[in-house]
Amino acid sequence: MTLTIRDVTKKYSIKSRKTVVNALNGVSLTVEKGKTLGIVGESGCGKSTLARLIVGLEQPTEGSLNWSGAPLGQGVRNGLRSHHTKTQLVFQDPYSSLNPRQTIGACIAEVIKTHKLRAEDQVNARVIELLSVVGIAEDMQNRFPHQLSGGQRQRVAIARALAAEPDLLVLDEPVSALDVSVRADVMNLLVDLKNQFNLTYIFISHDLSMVRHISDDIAVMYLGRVVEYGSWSEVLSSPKHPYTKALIQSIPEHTTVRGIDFENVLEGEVPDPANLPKGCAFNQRCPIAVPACAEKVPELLELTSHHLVACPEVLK
Amino acid sequence: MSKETKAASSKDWVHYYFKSTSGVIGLILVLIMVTLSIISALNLAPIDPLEQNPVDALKGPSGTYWFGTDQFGRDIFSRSIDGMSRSLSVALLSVGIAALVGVFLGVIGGFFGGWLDGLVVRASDVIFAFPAILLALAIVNSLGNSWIDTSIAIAIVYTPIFIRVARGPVLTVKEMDYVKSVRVLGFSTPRILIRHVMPNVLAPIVVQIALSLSWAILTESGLSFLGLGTQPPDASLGLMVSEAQPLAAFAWWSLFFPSLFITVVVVGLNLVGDGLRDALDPARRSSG
Repeated sequence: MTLTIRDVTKKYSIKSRKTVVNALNGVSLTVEKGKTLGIVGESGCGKSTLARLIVGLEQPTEGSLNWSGAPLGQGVRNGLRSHHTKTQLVFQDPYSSLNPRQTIGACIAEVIKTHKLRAEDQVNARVIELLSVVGIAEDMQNRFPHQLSGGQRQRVAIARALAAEPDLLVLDEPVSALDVSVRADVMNLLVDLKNQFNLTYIFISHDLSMVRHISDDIAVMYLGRVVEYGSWSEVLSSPKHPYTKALIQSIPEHTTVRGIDFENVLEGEVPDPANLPKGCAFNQRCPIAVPACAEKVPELLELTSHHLVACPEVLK
Repeated sequence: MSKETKAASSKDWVHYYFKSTSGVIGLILVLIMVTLSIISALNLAPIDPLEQNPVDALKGPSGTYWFGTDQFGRDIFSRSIDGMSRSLSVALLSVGIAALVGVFLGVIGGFFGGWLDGLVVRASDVIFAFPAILLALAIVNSLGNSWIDTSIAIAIVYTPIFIRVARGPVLTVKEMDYVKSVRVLGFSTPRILIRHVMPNVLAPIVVQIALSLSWAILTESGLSFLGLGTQPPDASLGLMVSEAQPLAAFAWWSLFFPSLFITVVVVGLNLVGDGLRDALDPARRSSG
């Protein structure tokens, strides 16, 4: 089973400004079952839009998303229950992702009952099992979200997603809103769950140091496009795209990466997605840009069989 | 929150409500008025409110006539509780209809948006454009004078308020991650609306119901005062105030007691509304 994202484009039209924002511009990615794809990029690069498309909260303007051949996300629109449970989303902010008027036990039980995943008399046992899997004590099931810490809430949100028995879990910055002290716990939990339930992860973050803990492959996104893709070891040890290099350099312990001979590489602001620059979207901030970069949008080309870069200058 | 805290029940707000003195006073005032209404509705009033005793006309408060008598010798206490019962019936029916229709339209419009929402909002803007009492007058005039007609007129006037009170919070709540997450979990739209949207927009609606009840009583009294609500010889607080106007100079009790009843129930319902607002709002709670 494979997640296949092919040439996905997502445009939002803003009526008040009479413009169209290009959130995603032809993204193609594949994730094998049991693997983790990390997606990194600055805010506004389209990573959260991609998450919403994968779980079916929104539909792509163009392109297709398939899970082992079957279109993804159609279920939400067509009311097909069976599709739902295959992909689940864990939100960034555990303070807003749980219904404040529902106990955490009821919240998980509702998923099991709605999809009839267990017999009526086994629902409660399943709730307790799921809570224990994420490290929440059984006697907390009657608590309301406001009685829990951020880390506990995120564990509950993960348990609720697992209750739907998904194959694919999209983790949209799952630890960014948590205290630094509990981030590692939740990350370790995610790694354990992946092995225990043979899950496939899409791990979205703006923080490379979090992504590398968990990812098999990494896709670096900039303004709605994938600019570099490959196994994490290769992308992190020998980044090719100037944007990837800049991101890696921004991790404190990576201040000196071989092959980067410029400092403060990222100057200027991210361009307005409603008014993208011609050619390569990065050309105005790029230290190695040549005039040709402002002419043609670079394609994602193979450097090796498992390392793709969208920059003709570094491929030369 | 510490782990020792006992599991909270959804009845937490009741506890907070009873901590507020004004809320408790309001509740007592309302309960007194409701009890008197029930006594009247069960025909347990000390004297028949319609019975005329010309010999005892315009007597002041006494052991027999607690609130005195009017110009026909009718017992003002019995008529006041009869009027209170009628006012409360009109208020409950009108606010009941307005809340059901208004909340339904507001939640549906806010959640689904589109042309339906536009229609709901425009229609309520049109109703809002008229002063409440004028619109109620016009509607009662075309419907009739029974207490049900009065209730329908008041319901039409108050429906847009409930549309607004329900729609606003729905617009916020539908964008919350917990609503998005249950969509991803594949819950049906009715389930999402009833289990996940409604409970989170209920607090302002409950408060609005308490406040609207007091306004509805005022509107019913106003309509009756103007001669368009309850008709003589039936008792209504507004009508009693109206009839007592020329007598007020020499029979103060005929004006004072019906007015007192209106004041007590309106103040009581307002205090209950304020108390509920504080009790149902977690942000206010934590500070107090």
